Amino acid sequence: MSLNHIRNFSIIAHIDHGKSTLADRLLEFTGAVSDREKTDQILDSMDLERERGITIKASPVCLHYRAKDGREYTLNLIDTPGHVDFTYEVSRSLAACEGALLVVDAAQGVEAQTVAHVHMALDHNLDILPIINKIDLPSAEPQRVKQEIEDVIGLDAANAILASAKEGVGTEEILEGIVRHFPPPKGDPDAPLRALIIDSWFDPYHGAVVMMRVFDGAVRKGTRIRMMFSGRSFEVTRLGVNSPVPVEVAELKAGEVGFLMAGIKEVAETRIGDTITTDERPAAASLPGFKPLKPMVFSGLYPADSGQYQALRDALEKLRLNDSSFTYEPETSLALGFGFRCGFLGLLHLDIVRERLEREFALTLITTAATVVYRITTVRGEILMIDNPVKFPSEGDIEQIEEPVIQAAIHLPQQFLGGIMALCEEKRGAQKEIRYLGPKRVLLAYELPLNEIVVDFYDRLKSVSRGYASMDYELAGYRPADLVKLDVRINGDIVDAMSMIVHRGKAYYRGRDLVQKMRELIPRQLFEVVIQAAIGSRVISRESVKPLRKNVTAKCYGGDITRKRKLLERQKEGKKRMKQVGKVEIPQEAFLAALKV
Amino acid sequence: MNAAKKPFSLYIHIPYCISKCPYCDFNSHVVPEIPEKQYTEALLRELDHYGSRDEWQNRPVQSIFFGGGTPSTFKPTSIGKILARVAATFPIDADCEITLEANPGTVDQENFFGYRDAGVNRISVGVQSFQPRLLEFLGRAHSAEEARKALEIVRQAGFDNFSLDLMYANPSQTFFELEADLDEALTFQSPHLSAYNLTFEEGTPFGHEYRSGRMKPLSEDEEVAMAELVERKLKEAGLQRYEISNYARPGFHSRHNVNYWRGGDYLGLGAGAHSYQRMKTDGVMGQRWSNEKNPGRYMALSMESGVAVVDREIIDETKALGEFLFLGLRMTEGISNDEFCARFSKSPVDFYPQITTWSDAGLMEERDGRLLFTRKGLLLANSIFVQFV
Repeated sequence: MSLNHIRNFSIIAHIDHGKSTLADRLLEFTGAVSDREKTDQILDSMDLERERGITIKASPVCLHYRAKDGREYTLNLIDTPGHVDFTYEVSRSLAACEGALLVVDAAQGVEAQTVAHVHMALDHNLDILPIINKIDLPSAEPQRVKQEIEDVIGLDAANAILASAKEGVGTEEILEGIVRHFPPPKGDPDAPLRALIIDSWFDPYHGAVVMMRVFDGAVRKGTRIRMMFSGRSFEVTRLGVNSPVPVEVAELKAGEVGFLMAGIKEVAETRIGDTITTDERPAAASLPGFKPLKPMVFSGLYPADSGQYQALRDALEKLRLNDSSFTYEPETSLALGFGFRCGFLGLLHLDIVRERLEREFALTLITTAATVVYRITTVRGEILMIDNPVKFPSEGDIEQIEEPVIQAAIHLPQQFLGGIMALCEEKRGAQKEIRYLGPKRVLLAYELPLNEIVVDFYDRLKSVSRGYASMDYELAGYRPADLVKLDVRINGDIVDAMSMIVHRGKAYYRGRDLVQKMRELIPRQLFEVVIQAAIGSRVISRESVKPLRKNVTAKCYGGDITRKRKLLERQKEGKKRMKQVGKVEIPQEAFLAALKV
Repeated sequence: MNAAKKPFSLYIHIPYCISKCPYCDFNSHVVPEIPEKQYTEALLRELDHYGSRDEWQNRPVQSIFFGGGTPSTFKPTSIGKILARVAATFPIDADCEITLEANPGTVDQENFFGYRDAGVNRISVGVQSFQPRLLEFLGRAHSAEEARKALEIVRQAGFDNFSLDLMYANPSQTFFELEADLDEALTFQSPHLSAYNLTFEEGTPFGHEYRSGRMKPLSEDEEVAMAELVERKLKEAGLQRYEISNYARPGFHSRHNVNYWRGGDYLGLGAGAHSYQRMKTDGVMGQRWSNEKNPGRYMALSMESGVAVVDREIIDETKALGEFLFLGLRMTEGISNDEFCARFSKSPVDFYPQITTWSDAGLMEERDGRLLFTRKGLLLANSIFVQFV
């Protein structure tokens, strides 16, 4: 059977360039959404995604479109997340497509984030159709932007479609472009089943829901499927497509995109990028590109109110059902009591998990400084993998410390080269390659320590390049490094939750910045609070928060005792976000500062 | 029925003012014509009601306090009528303290003799400052000259017990101005003086100015220095600090207010008045209630049934414990450990081990079986009180 009527595509765009609005217009035009159902930005379903303007979970939508050639087409729009922490998910979503719409804001032009994704799409041999959006803006400059697409990305922009998703201009041209420009999927419906897992999430009624792209063969209700990585088998109970509400189908075959349910109890069984085949006739080889996701950044999560420990445990368990890329295990801290050591893909992932825990489960959390996993050889020859600074051996016991490094590929316009190289040097990077991709485009390859990346590298990269540089990275093993454990002491006591591993050469600056930040964030209390940064017993920086001198209500008579008590209660409520360490109250923000300094 | 014979304090609220001060968050109202007669009737009706209740009947009154608003907006005849009805309703202690808050305006002064005849034996004069500039800033309706005159008349009328209110730490006040206010206040030799640090209360014009950033309070260091000046000067003049903002010569502390801080019973009459009654049943340690605040609605309710209560709160052990501490510790004598143990069956340190830390830091001390704040601690009372609620 021919697959000529199918097009699988995704949309690549910078935040705010109108991806979600465009997706909405496509859905409306093809009648997938009636006006009544219309809410803004249909594809982004989580609150958090909406607020941050990013899409965390890909949620493919199936559109039916009668083209001008008179034929009926099935268009599968496969959405992609948009941050470096989720590079792997993006690559799997792109692997499921044959084409991609490149949406560029007609006023703002090409932005960095898009460039990395375009390159990734080109790596997956996708056809790319540029869309110049927001042409209704008075500041729109479509000609300049076209030129930019050619110069900066090296893409032919002659066929670029001018559109305004907000006004609904160009929607039909885009749909026609998808049909004409993008190739139909290839694949053998009669070969053994091979389906790529693009995404999966947990549904309390049905277990894991797997979103997939079928490459070869077909899958039906009742088929015994097998996950090629884990080797586990399941019987398919339901198949369907989102159009955009879920609709059940009897079969999904080569070229098609849809979801399946098979009574899978844990999302961890359904790894993104894994290949689904059948028990009966397993495929000889899995689809390329699979990488099991491994947490790279670790941090302790503690309830600010120790009474919330059990609630936090339950929340982590629930969240993990949906997000198998993060891990947790119990740990204890002298300063913070009982909590969990959690592993994340990156800092943004950490932020998202933390915010979801606070928002969806009404928890108040303290996060400890993020760390990577160090490999330490002791003088006795043992090898320790350390994901928590507290477990760092004392200096005398260490023979060698190795830290994880990454291979980073940075795309940038030539004018930012100096600034970005300086940044990479500051972050202890070693240059591996510098290549001109065009007259104005440069590719920089650097080997960088991961612990420098998790702090603020990404933000700094964006600011140095005014957002035009983009980065992609992968782990490249361990390298020896001169690292020390930096402790924070409050009134003499080490706050274990704030300890961090830093390069010896940077310890002083990190210590000074952290201590200064803490001085700003710790409110004045009844006693003087002395904050120190120290390496071992050597104090490298010191600040103090002077004690409060006056906090008293002048008038308190019979009439307003209830009110005075309520005022005191309200003040006390404000203290809930503080953690008592020794006799000092430390606000949650001060712990967060340790993450960001 | 010994418990029922416990003395209590009576508070009577007169909610009217001739103008509203921008810092004041008390229940006060400016009206074109004060319905003195009707309001007095409403008070009498409420008094009759409580006089017939088991919980209050036959209990001796240890203090009476006319507060406001501005009680001196009422004529001595009205005050006399109310006091006569109190005396007809409850036994009155021979040494009952009967206070009336007065504005130092010219009209008010004329009434001072009459109040004395009506039975008032203590007057509290809301001077606030002797600096014309500050009086204007505080929106006071009287002049410095009127204040001086009023204090003269208080003495002439035969009040040997009277108090003078000062307000300090106004955003524009200088150290010299405070010194001048204190010096002048002391020339009147009042046996009692209240000195309040200006606060920016929510819902007042000052509170609004403060929150919007247009009104900047003095720095903490300045406020502390002023508080220290107040205490030092008054002490030199023989006025001992007995509460955060109150000073008196020996024997002249306000019995009525001390009753609040010691957690004694009080009955409040009038618009927005609050009452408190201790209890000891099933973990209930007491109850508080309050009247309708709006004078018009208060009068209507009271005339109908003698009851104008709109809010009631049960004080359980946790609340009682917190109140006992954050009220008692306002006084320089602090709280009695024995009394605390008798009420709550454990000592304060058993409930709050932090007390040891605060003592070590020089904020509290234990002396003669009492727990009390040091001078340094008094300035930080709220930071410690929050631990008690």
